[in-house]
Amino acid sequence: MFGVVQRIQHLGAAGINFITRVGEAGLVLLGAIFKKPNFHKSFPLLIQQMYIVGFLSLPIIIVAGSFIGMVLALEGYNILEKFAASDELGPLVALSVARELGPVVTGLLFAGRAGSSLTAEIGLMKATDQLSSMELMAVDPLQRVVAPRFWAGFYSMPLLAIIFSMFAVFGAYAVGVDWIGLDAGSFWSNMQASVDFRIDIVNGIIKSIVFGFFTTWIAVYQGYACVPTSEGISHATTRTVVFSSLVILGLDFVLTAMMMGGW
Amino acid sequence: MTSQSCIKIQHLTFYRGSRKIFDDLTFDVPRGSIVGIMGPSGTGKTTLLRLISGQLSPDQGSIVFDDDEINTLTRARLYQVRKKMGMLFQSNALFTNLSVYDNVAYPLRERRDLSESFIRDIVLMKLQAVGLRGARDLMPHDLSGGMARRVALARAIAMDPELIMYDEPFTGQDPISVGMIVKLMRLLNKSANMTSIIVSHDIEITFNLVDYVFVLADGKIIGQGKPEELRNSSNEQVRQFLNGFADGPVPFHYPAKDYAADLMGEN
Repeated sequence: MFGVVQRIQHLGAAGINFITRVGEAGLVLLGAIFKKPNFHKSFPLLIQQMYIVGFLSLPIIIVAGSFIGMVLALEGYNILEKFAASDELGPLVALSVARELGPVVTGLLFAGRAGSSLTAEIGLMKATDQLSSMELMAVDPLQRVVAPRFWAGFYSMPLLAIIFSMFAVFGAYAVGVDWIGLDAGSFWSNMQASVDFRIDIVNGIIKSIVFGFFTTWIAVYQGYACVPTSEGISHATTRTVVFSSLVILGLDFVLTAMMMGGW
Repeated sequence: MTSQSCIKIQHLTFYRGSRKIFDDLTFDVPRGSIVGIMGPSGTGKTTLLRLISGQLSPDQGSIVFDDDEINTLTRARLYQVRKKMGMLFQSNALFTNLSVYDNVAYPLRERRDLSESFIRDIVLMKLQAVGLRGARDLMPHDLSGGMARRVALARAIAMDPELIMYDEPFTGQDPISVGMIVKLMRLLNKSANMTSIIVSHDIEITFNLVDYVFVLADGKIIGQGKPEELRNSSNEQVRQFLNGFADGPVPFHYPAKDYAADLMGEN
């Protein structure tokens, strides 16, 4: 009986802790994005962070996109050929990538590459009193540190997902047309005929925007709220990657269900 | 609050978790004075600076700076008040992505509406004061510990604050740098009527610099007075601290059970 009560207490404490954390994360986000920005000071910081978060993520996005497109083409061709439908390789790759793999894989890579880096950077700034010194100079670290990083991640993620999808299609073209020898005309024309801009492309972009919002929010919050020690920063970085990945996969299901339901 | 006091602390009580750091602490820091805060490690000297600057809130009591009760201010008002404060952090807290020049210019760019040429003049003057004008283009990772400390000092005084708090300003400094920093502190105090609070373990240097000293231990003030008064203090705790005796009323060991019993694994 005592053990059951204790478990219920632990469960309750964990629930309260979770709600407290979500509340804190909400306050960090509010403090960062719902304050009047100073464009003269914020814009250069945003550009700098977009370079770090977005532009420097390009190599991994391009390489991953190309290889995923190539693998999809190889696997897809082997299956489609059995049904004498190898001309449908273009639509298969384009739809898979635009609707699912583009936003999801970009989100996962983004969480691993940029999200962890954001958490570690903000966490180290906290551990070395840089955030405290800003506070003492009457500079709000939510405005100067968190906000530009959040917006940079938010804007970069859909752009990276589009680039990922483009390179996946190029990779599939390289394998399907240049290597296997499919007809280039039918590859592109079947793709054009099957892919709907509103249903496939726009929905994929919407997904990537949502993933970018949550991934970057998790990353900046984990850095801002971490225990300012090397172990605390390490745990926060791990939490960023794990939570972001789970949120991306969970939200992908919810968004896909909503989109298929014709919302 | 009289205009003679820059800071007035009354009945300050502060806990970290269940541990009481300050127990009903009351004292004033006169305007334009240099005050030393001393005491054994772990007595909350840095915590006291964070309470004065509003980075922490007391559990009880009040801290008044220039007629503003720090712990009751709105965030916007607190930021206004902080424009009159400067702090040299124990860890220096330099922005690692900015050069020495940009670190010193940072508060001026953020909080003052000045032209870049005027900011340049101020930054170079502050760097000249700490002997690092020639190091303006270096990055924080290029600096030695002592140099980083001096850059942090230049940044702390960049805004010419009314109150400046130094947390271990002499750590890692060679004798020449210590002499220069002490001279600079005196100059700031005299020429700009700046109020200074110095947290330091370096008794000789601090005693030669400050007007008044508070010695903290066990969450209370165990001794206070002018340096020469403290040197002649009959208080056992103060004498132990100033002379560095291992045995005395101030425990060297963190509270623990009996050593022999602990070694024997007895509960």
